[in-house]
Amino acid sequence: MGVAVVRHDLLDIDRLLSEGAAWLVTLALSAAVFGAGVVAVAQLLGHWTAIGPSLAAFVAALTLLPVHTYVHRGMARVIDRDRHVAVATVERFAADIRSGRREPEEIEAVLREAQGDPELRLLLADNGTWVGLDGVRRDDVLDGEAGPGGIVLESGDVPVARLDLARDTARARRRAAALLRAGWVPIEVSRLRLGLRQSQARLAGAAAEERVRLERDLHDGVQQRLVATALRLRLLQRRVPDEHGGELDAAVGELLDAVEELRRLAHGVRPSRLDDGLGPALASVAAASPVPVDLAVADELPEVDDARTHAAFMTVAEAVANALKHARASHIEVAVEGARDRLRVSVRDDGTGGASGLVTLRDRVRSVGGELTVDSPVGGGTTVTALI
Amino acid sequence: MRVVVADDAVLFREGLVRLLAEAGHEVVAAVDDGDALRVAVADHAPDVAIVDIRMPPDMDSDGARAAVDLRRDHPATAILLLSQHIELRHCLDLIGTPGFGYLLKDRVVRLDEFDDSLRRVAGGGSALDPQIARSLVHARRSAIDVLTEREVEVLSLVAEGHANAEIARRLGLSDRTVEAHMRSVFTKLDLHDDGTTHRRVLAVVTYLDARGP
Repeated sequence: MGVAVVRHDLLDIDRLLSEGAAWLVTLALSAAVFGAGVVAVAQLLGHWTAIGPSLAAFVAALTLLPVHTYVHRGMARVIDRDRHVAVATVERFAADIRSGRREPEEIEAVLREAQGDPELRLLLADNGTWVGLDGVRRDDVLDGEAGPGGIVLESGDVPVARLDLARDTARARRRAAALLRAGWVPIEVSRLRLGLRQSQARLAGAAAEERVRLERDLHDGVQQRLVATALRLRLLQRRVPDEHGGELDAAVGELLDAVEELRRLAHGVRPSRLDDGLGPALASVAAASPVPVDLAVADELPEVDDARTHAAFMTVAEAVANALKHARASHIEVAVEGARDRLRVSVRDDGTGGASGLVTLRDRVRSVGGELTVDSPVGGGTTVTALI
Repeated sequence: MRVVVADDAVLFREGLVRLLAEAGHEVVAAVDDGDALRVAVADHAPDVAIVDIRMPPDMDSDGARAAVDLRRDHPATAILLLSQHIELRHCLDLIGTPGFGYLLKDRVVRLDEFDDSLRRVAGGGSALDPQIARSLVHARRSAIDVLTEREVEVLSLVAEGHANAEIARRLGLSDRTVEAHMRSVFTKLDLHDDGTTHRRVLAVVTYLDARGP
């Protein structure tokens, strides 16, 4: 894939100087290699022959490019030391990402440090607009091409990112362009990961909406009709002879069982008590548990959307169900608290430990951008923690 | 007893109206949204308003919000809320006040129990669905773990709004045993007991509701 940095200065004195000098030195070195080769062959054979210059020319040609690369790097280090150090910083960062020590999203901070411009801003292309690394649009950023102080990084003619410099000089631009080229991979990865997070969030949001709709349809539609029918039968029961009364009684009983089952079903789709908040919904989970559940919900929780609230609820419901079903727990502790703008949910039991699985739950938590950790040593109980 | 019914589900409303009529109550108005309910109660000053929580226009908690208004504007009218599932958001303040009840709709089909609840609420008492009572009791689990299992059962039934005789019948105990459990509960929870059912229920519900989620 071709990568281009557009809109940087053409008049690059430093670079011309450095490249010119590098070629001169390379030429001199090549000539030396050639001369030394000719002399060495003559010494070796004891007389002058045509093999000497040919062999020396061959060796000089072979070493020409490596020597030039080496010399060029050395020259760059001498003539534009700052740029060299800055590019090396970004390259080291890219290597750290490959070995899993850092996250690509730190690229903005790295560029700020390398560029020596603490107010520099990296923007990512997102469907024709520019957004920050957090996916949020900046009010003061106009769409379209970069204005003064902006450098656009393109990948195959498609804009990928834009760097807005606070300190905008020709020299700063040249260095920033080099940094953008060096940081292309982390930048592109950040952009792709942002897109992935956004589409996951959209899917989770759509699923949450659908669950709310389905829950309402079940309660207000089917369940309502079943109850109304049961009521009609009950009224009819008073008008029929006693020997048929038992039959009607049984029919009403069936309908009421169906209503109860439907309520449980709708609860699985989306617990309607979530309308009252996470605390009351979790209290109903605790109330339904045959073993004691200590529930501690912090008074102040960060506001999160329905998809995330539901994921937090499901984490507790499934972890509790797991503790009861597999771990033979006799006591369960549930805690919900805020961790900056996220919810931290933890469920701890005193069961047999060694829990595996919870794959569906992990996927669910991930689908809303959360993380799930399970700590379950054999014989040491299980702790499920989710940051949502 | 004079009753106003508010529910947008026609089949259920019609059934409820017939049931009330057959039980000897006078249904003075049957309406299908919150605004019509406010008007009907202002016009008829009924003994009880039976209100569905979800009603048009926004199919959310219009009924519960109307109930809060009715309590403020017409305190003499008792309120019995009905819904397909428990939804306490807008009516938390009403729980534990005299003449307020909240039941799941399918309880209506158990005619005798429903009529019993209706009369309790109309008489200034309380009627909470066992599901609500259970979650209130549970929310205070740590505070009430001084109680025995039997005392927790008694407490839950009090929270539902029942008098001693009914609690005794349900648990298969004698009136005097229930009375003894009750005294023990009130002593352990440090509640004031002047012996009347209504106040006893309100004290219990207020206690349970106080710091629950």
